[in-house]
Amino acid sequence: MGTWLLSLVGCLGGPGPVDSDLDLRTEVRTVPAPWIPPQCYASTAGGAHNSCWTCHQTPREPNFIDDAALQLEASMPGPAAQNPWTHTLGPAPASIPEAEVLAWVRTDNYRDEDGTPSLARALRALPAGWDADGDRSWDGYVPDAWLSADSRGWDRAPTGEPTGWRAYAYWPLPGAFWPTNGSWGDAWLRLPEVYRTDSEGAPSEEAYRLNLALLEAVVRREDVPLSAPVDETRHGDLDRDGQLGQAHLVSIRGWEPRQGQLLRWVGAAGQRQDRGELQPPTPGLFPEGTELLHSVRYLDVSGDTVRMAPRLKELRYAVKTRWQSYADLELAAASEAREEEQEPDVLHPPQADLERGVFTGTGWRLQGFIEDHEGELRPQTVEETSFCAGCHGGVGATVDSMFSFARKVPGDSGWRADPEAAYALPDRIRADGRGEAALYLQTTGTGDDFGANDEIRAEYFDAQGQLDPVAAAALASDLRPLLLPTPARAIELDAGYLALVRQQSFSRGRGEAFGLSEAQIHRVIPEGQRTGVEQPVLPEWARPTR
Amino acid sequence: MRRIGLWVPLLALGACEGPAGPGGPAGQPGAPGQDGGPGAGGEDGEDGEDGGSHTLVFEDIGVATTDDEKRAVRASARAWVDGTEVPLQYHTLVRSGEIVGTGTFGLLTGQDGAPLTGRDGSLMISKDADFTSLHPVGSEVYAVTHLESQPGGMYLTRLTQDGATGALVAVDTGPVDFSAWHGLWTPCAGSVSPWGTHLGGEEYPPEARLWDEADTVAQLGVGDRNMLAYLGLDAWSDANSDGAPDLPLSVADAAYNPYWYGYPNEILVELGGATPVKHYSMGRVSIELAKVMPDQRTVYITDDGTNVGLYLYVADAPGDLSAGTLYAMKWYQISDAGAGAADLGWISLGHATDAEIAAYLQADLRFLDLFEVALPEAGEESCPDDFVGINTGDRGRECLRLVPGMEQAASRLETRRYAAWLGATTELRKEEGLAHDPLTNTLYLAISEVEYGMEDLERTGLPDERHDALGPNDIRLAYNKCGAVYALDLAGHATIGSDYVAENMYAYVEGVPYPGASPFPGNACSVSHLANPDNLTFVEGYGTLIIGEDATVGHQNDVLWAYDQQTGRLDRIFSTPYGAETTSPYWYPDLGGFGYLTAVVQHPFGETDQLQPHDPLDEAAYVGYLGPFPSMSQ
Repeated sequence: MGTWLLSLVGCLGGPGPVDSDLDLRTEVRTVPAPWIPPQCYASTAGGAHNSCWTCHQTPREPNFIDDAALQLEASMPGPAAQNPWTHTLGPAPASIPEAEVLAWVRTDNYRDEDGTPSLARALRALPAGWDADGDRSWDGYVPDAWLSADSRGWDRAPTGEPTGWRAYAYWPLPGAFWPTNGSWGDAWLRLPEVYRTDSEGAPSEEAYRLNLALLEAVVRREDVPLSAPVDETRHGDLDRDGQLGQAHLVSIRGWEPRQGQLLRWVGAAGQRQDRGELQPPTPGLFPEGTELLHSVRYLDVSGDTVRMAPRLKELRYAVKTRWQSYADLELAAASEAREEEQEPDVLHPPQADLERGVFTGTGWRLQGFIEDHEGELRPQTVEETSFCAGCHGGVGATVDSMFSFARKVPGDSGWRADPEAAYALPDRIRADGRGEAALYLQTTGTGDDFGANDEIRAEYFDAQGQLDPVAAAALASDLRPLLLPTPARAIELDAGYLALVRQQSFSRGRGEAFGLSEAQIHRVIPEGQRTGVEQPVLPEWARPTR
Repeated sequence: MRRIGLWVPLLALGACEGPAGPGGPAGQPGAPGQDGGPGAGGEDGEDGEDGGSHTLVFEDIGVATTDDEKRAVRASARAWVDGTEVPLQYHTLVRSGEIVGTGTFGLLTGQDGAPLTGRDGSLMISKDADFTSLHPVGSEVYAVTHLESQPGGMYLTRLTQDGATGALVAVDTGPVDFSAWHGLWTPCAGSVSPWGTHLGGEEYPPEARLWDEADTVAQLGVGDRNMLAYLGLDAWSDANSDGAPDLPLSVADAAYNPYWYGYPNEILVELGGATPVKHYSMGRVSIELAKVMPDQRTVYITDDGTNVGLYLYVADAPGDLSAGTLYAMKWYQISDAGAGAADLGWISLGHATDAEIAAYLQADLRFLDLFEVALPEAGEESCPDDFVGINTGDRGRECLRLVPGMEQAASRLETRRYAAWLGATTELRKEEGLAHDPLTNTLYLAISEVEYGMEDLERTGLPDERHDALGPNDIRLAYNKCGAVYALDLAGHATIGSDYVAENMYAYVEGVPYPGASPFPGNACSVSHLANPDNLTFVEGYGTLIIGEDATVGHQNDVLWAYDQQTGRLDRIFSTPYGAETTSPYWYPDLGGFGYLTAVVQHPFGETDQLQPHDPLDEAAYVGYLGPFPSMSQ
C-alpha cells in the first residue's frame, strides 16, 4: 500500500484535451480538516474585524446549528488548530504577464468547439485515474447544463430545448464571493422532472414556474410575487387566502402542519404529494432531488470594466439525496452538539468519494470540479471536494445547508443569467433595516474576510479606518462599485490563482489571499480565546424587538 | 499484580484446539511502530486461572478494505466453542423507525405520552439506539433498548424465541414510560443486574451551573432545548423573528430542573410491561453505565466525558439500589509506562437514600443552593481563601465553597464536583465500558482516549495545563489517542464492607497510534490493534473479553474485538459501516438454552443516489445479536 497512490495511470481516455493521466483516486489527506476554510483562521484583530457572522449565526428552524458564539470565541478541534492554508501565509506567486493571464481567462474550458461540455465528454470516456471503483463508469454528476440562459433564466441546449436548469440572480455572500475578492459566480437550480410536469403528465413550463415560485417562497420565507395572475382553480390556493381565485403571489402564510395546514406543489408533483410519495413544500427545505450548479469564474477585463470570464475555475454541484425532516435535523443537531462537547478535538471527516463527492450529513451530496494544470476541468479529489462540506451543512447561516438561493433576487426578475447585469443590485436590506454590504464593510474594515482588500479600504475608509458615509450610502442603489475590482486588481487576482492551477496545490489554498500578516490570519488558532467581538451580528432575517 | 504489559500483535494462533479460522485479510498492516520503552512489561506469568477450562475462538473478519466492506455490517461467520464449530450470523431484531406490532421503534414520546413531532409535523424518531438488554420473563423474552438522544427514550420490545434454532424475532414494541421521572436524558450503555433488571443511566446530563447563569433560552444547550419539548415547551419557536426563542427562560426554568437527569435507572421487566426507577442515591454524573458485582450490593459507575471520576456504590441490602454509600476513586500513580498503573483509594461521599434525594428535587434545589462560586485567581491557578479549586467536566477550573449543610445534596446532585471538592481524582477521560470476570475477580474498564486530564500538564501531547490546573494532577500519563482497556483487581475491603473493592488499575490492552501518517487513510490507530475502546462484556468461563470500539478517528470502521486472555489474540468479530458506531455488546450465556451476543449499529449513514428510491431505513440503527451460540452458562 502507499506507492500505488503516487504512480501515474496510463491514459485510457479517448481523444480530447483532458489531462487524463492524473490519478485522482488518492484518499490521503494532506491536511487534517480540509473542510474548515481559510476564513476560519482569519484574525478578528481584537474585535475590529468580524466576518465570522456571514456563516456563524443564530439559525432559523429547521437549521438547529446555533454557532453564533463562534463570533465571540475561537474554537477549533486540536488537529485543525494549525492553519493548513499556507498559500495565504506565503508571498504571492511570481507574476504572470498580463497578456498570458488574459489569454488564459478568455479561453472557454467548459465547452468543446461543438458546444458540448468538455467535462461531460471526458467523464463518459472516464480515464482510469478517475475511476475510483474500477467499473469504467462515472457515478457522480455529468455536466448537462449548457450554461446558456434565455432572458428568463432557462438554460437551453443549442437546439432550443430547455434542460431544466434555471439561472437566478442573487446577492453573493459578503466576502469571498464578491468578485473584488477573487471570482465571478453564477448560480443555477433544477428540480426533478415531476416538478416540471402538469397534472396530465405533460412537460409544463407553467407548472415548473409555479413550483419554482413555491420553492422560492419556502426557502426565502417571503411572499413571491407572480408577474402575471394565476388561475387558482387549476393550481390550488397559491396565495393562501383561503379562496380559489386569481393568485398574484405565492405565499406560505398559515403553514401549520401540526394543524393539518400544508402547502402543496403544482401539477404532477402535487398529485404525487397527495399520494404521500413526495414531501410537501416545507419552509426552510429543498425537495429531494433538487440540484444546484455554480460556476466559479475568473475575472475578465474590458477597458475599464471587469466582467465574467469564459473560463471556469471550478464547477460546483449539489444534489439533495435524502429528505431530512425538522425532527431528523433537530435530533441530529443535538447529537452533533453532544459529540462536539464530548470530543472537542475529534475531527469528523465527512463521507466522501471521488466519483460521487462529499455527503453533508444533512441530505446533500456536493461535488466540485476544478482545473487541472492545463486548465481542463477535472473531478476534485476526496480532499479537495471535502472543502465544500464545512460551509454547507455545518453552520447556522444556511437554509437547508445552502446559501445562494435564499439570497435570490425576488420574483420573476430574479430568474436570469445576464453577466452584464449580474451585480447590478442595490444593497440587500436586512430585516433590521441596515444594508448588508455596508454592514460587512463596517464589521471588517476592509470588505474582505482577511482585512486585506486594500482597494476597498482606500475607496471606502478614511485614514482612521472610518467608513466613508457617502460611499457607503451609494451602495443602497448599486453594489457594483464595491463588488467589482479595478482591472488591475482583477488581473492580479487571476494571475495569483492561475499560478496555483499550474502547481495543482489546492490543498494549500485556492487563492483566497496571499502574504497575510500575523495580524490578519492566525498561524495557530488561539483555542478558547475571546475574539474581542462583543456583540454578535444578528442574522439578516432577525428583527430586533428592542 | 497480573500485568501483561504492552500487548504485542499476535497474529499467530495460540494454543486452542479449534481450527485457526481463515484469519485472512488481517496482516497487511505495516509495522505498528515502536511503542517507546514500555518498561519491563511482558511478564505474563500466573495466568493459568483465567478462562477456566473452556475455549472460544472466533473467525476474524479482517479489516474492511474494499468500499463494499466499508459500507457493510460484517460479522464472523463462525466460532469454535471448545473446539466445536458454531455457525454465526448477525441477526437484526429491529431498526429505528420500523413498525413492530403496535409500535414504531424509536419514536420519541413526550410527558403526555404523545409522539414528539417537528414543526413540519414529522415524527421524532431516534436513530441512536444504544444498549439493548434481553430479559426472559416467563415464556416470553423482552428486549429493552436505550435511545441515546435528547430527549432520550427507551423501548420495550417483545420477542419470540424459536425453541429449535434459538432465533429471536421482534413481535411488538412500545416506549417505556418515564413521565413519573420527568423523562429520560440520553441513556447510553447499560447492564443487566444479577437479579435480572435492566440498569441504564443518563449520560452527559445538563450542566446545572449553566442554567443558573443563562439569561435566555438560546444560551441553553441544544439538548436542553430539545428536552423542554418533552415537557411540552417549544424552545425553538421564534414567531416574531427577532432572532431569539419566544420561550422566556423564566418559564423554562419553572418547568425544568437540570437535576432531574443524570442518574442510573433500573427497569423491572414483567409480563407485558416495564417499570422504571431512577436511583438518585447512586449519584449524578455523566453515566456511561452502572455494573453490579455478584454480591448484588457493590456497583461500579463510569463517568463519560472530560475530567471525570470513577464511583463505587455499596447498597445497604443486596438487590436493592435505593439506599447506599457512594465512594469516589483516588488515583495513586505507580507507573507512567504505556497507559499507566495506579493503586486506588476510595473517598466516601456519604450515605443517601433515593427518597432523601427526591426530597431535595422536590425542594427544587439548584446549583447555587449547593455551592458558592468565586473566580479563579492568579492566572486561574489558585482560588480565594475558603474556596476549593477543582477541575471537573467541561467547565474545568472552578473555585467552589460548599454551602453549609449541603453535603448530602451535593454528593448526589453534583457528585463529580463534590468528589473533586473532597480530593478525589476527576482526571479520567472518556471513561466507558465495564465488564467483570468473576473467576479472577477482575474488573475491566475502557478508556476511549488517554488524554486531557490523564496527561501530565498536556493536552493531546502539547503543553497545556487547562485540564490539570486547580486540580491535584493525580494522573500523569502520555497521550494515547487510541485508548486502552484497564484491569482493576477487586478484593475485600473491611471498612467499605465489600468483597469487590478495586485496589488498583492498570493498562491491560492498549491501542497503538501510527507514529507518522497512517498507511490506511482514516485509520489513525493500528488496524491490528483496538482503537478507542468503548463497551465491554466478558464471556465468563471462556476467558474472552469482548471489546467494542467507538473509533471516530482511530479506525474508519468500528470493530467488535474478541480478546482471548489465554492466547493474547485479538480477533475482529463484527464491524460497522463507516460513520456508524458499534454499541452495546452484551453477553447472554444462556437464554432459553442459547447464548447471544447483542450488538447495535448506531447512526449508520445511509447514502443513496437520487435516482434510487430512498429507503428511510438506510440511516436507521440496527438492534440485533450475533449468534445464536449454544448455551455457555457456567
